[in-house]
Amino acid sequence: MSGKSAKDIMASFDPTIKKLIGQILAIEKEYRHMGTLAETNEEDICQRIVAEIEKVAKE
Amino acid sequence: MKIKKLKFKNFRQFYGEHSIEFSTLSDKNITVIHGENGGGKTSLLNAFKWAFYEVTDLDTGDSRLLNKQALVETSEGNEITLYVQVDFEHDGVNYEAIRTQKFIRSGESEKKSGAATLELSWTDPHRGYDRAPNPEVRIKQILPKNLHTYFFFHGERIEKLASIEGTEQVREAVKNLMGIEVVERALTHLETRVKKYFKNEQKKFSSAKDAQLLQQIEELEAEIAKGKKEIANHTKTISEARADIESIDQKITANKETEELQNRRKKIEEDIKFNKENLEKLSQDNKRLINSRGFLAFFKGSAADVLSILEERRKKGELPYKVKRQFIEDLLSEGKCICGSDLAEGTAAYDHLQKFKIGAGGADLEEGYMLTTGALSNVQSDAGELQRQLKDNIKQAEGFRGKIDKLSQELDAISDKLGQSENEEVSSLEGRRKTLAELISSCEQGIGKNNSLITQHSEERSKIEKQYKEEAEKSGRANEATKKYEIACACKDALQKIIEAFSNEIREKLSEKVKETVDKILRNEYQAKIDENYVLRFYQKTPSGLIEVPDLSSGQRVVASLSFVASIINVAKKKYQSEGASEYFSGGLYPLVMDTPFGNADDDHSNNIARLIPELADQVIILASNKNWSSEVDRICRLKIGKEYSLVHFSPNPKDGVDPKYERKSASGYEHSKIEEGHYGG
Repeated sequence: MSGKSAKDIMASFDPTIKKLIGQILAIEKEYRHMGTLAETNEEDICQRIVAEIEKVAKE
Repeated sequence: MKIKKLKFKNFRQFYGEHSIEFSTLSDKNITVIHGENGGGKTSLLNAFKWAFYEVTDLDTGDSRLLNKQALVETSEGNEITLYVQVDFEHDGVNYEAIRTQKFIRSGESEKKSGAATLELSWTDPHRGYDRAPNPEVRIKQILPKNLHTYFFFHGERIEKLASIEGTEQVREAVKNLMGIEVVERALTHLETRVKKYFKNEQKKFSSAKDAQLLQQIEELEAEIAKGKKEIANHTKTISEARADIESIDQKITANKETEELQNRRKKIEEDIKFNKENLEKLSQDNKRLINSRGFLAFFKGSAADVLSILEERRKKGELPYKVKRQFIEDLLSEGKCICGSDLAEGTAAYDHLQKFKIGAGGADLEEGYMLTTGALSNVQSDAGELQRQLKDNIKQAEGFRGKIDKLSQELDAISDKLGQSENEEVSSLEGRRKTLAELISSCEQGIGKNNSLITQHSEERSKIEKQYKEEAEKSGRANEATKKYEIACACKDALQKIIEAFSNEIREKLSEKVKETVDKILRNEYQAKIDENYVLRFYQKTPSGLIEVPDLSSGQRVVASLSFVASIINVAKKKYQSEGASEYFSGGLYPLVMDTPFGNADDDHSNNIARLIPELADQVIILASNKNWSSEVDRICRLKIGKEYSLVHFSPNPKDGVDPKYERKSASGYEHSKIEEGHYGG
């Protein structure tokens, strides 16, 4: 392998960011099978991501 | 993805409704459908393509989709329905895709009644039943259309497959299969809506000056995003135009009258590419020379001036001094000159030497003089060498440009000849080709322009961001909103890095897998790898090293294409099964549907393919003629076969010499096919 693997890159991140990314991707995965998203779905996803970031900022 | 069932009505030679269930077992992952020519193997392969993408690739000369008997039995002006339904499971969700086309009988023929429709519904274990608002898009996300010729593979028509190109679409399609689109979607959400949300929050708490800076940053970001979007559009257009040109070239080559001209054009295009690559290398070399030694050009004149001053002083005997200070001091302390005179203090000789000592040079001055003159001489010679190298590169570049111009003129002449061809098809194809080439050139210019604008805007944005941060910190306004915005940016940057690393990782894994697969099938005669642009490169192993094989034979193409797709499927499967993969990139399980898979491959290669492919893919559906399904292939696959069917063709006049188990007399008088469970043998 010539460069760092995605796993290595992930390991190098700040634990807070790492955890947050995991949460963001978990939200996105819930909507994966829907294909192109409707506006309401996009709104829902983004509001949930905003809420996760706000939680982290308050910690 | 696992295909569970194929159900269809009035499709091609299949009158009425038919269905086939496929094996979804992991230890018996092969479903074989046996059939003789005309039995309906290629129709079944096309049933998948039509259901998913509304495309077909039929080689019988009859491209009609509607069954003839169904048409004849319908009264004039009445409606007939044709549908193909595919039931499949993907990522834990059960889907049902059904494409329907209605026809109206009009005389002896049929007319389409409206456009074909696709419905995609699913049963999700968490949310229950639902239907896709945009089924075409969703299908393409699950199984990218750009790769469908590989997933629905026709071994005997391999030369009709697009060459294994490293197009942007293939790269994107591979990324989709690996599950990267979820990460890309997260990136888009962070980049756009989430960042915007926090930016608005920041504005609420900002002073007028800060808000102005934030506004500027926002405007620059919008410009950068616009530039990136335009680049993506241009890249897509270029990729599509190149694919169109390739297909036009294939058609022109297929015409005997124009084959030679097209081959000459191909050769010239390769030569132009070679010269352009050399030109690019020279340009890189010039940049490197100027970056590392360009300063010499500015010092050359000054170095000459300083050297001339030093030389003048040397001529005057001032530099370096002929007599060293240490030597005079030694004479004075010994009290004897080399001429024999006494050097006692107070004598005229002593005073004279004392005066001389003051003007004499020290060792440090001497060393300094030597170093300075040496360095300045080097500056002069290095500057000369730099000039010589740059001149040489410019001369070589002129040579390459001249060759490119000459070759381009030849290309234009060929294009004019083809454009003026009396064969209307050729002239029209050439006209279209010319338009596409112009489109590519204009898109390339667009990409260059946007890249330079993005660099300019990014630099400006960094400057303003720094200014905003300083202002906010100075006034103690670095509030919570800024913190949230920065967290969103950090997540976005992290995701970008992950995607980049993952894409490289996947390409390397894919390349290793293709190499391994080709090694196993072609018994180490060849080597294959996927380069950084996702182009499959094929090499022959020779005593003097690897030699790239530009044009593959039909047999080699079968192996190369199968290796390519089996490797994609296998890498996606490994990712899907690996621990922790579900957190970021899920990969996935994909089927391989192969019509006459062994095509033109010889017995040994066929046996190797039969041995290897079921190991690489999670589900394999083979449509085989008895000629291709040898007893050895049967022996290799037997234990892995979960379902087996035979296609029986019913004809009013069964052909002589065709196995009666596969071709029978039609009682209705119409030609049609049926699917029966089991294998009737060869």
